Amino acid sequence: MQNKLRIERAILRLTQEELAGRIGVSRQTINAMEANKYVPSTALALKLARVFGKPVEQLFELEEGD
Amino acid sequence: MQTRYLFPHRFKRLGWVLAVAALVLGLLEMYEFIRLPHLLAWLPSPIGNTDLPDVVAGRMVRDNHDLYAVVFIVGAVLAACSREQHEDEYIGQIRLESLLWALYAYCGLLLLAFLLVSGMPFFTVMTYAMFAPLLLFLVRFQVVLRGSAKAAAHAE
Repeated sequence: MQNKLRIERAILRLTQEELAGRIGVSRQTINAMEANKYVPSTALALKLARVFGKPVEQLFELEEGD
Repeated sequence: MQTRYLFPHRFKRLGWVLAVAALVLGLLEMYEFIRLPHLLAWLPSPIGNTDLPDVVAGRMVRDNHDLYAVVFIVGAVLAACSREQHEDEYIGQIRLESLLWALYAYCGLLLLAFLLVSGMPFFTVMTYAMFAPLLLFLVRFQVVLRGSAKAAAHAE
């Protein structure tokens, strides 16, 4: 699964630490998601969507094989 | 989602101190670098009391390895199963993957030991085998956790 978290975070000018604080996770989790090493749960994806003010489908995209 | 059945984060440091102290003292006594007094001489064994290994003042008593084993298990469980400061679903996943990894590594090592070691040396293998799953899990979990923290620190 691909995501646009890094881009959306840059648009809002948030650091990983700040984004982590807003959704209540560790900074490692933000970094792992941005590096496509971790696919978040639905609850976490919805929290991210709320912070960025966009639907989940605009943040995450299925790849072939998903 | 958070991993259930974890101890509060404050127990983690205490767990590490207990586990490392017990491991070091246990190995030092096992290989006879030190010899401490019988610290558990006061504690009888409900089963096998007549087979206790040492004699003090004409009475069969426990060896210190019982104490080190108990302290190590308590400490290692606290160190391994206490929440991280920011315990979340990603760390929960690392925790569960490390548990699976430790199981595979333990079974692999045990298979090798059965094939390569026989006789009395296998007794030493059994001694290590009692504590290996916890140790393997602890080491793997910490290595991956530190790796991901380092990766996050270098990301910005």
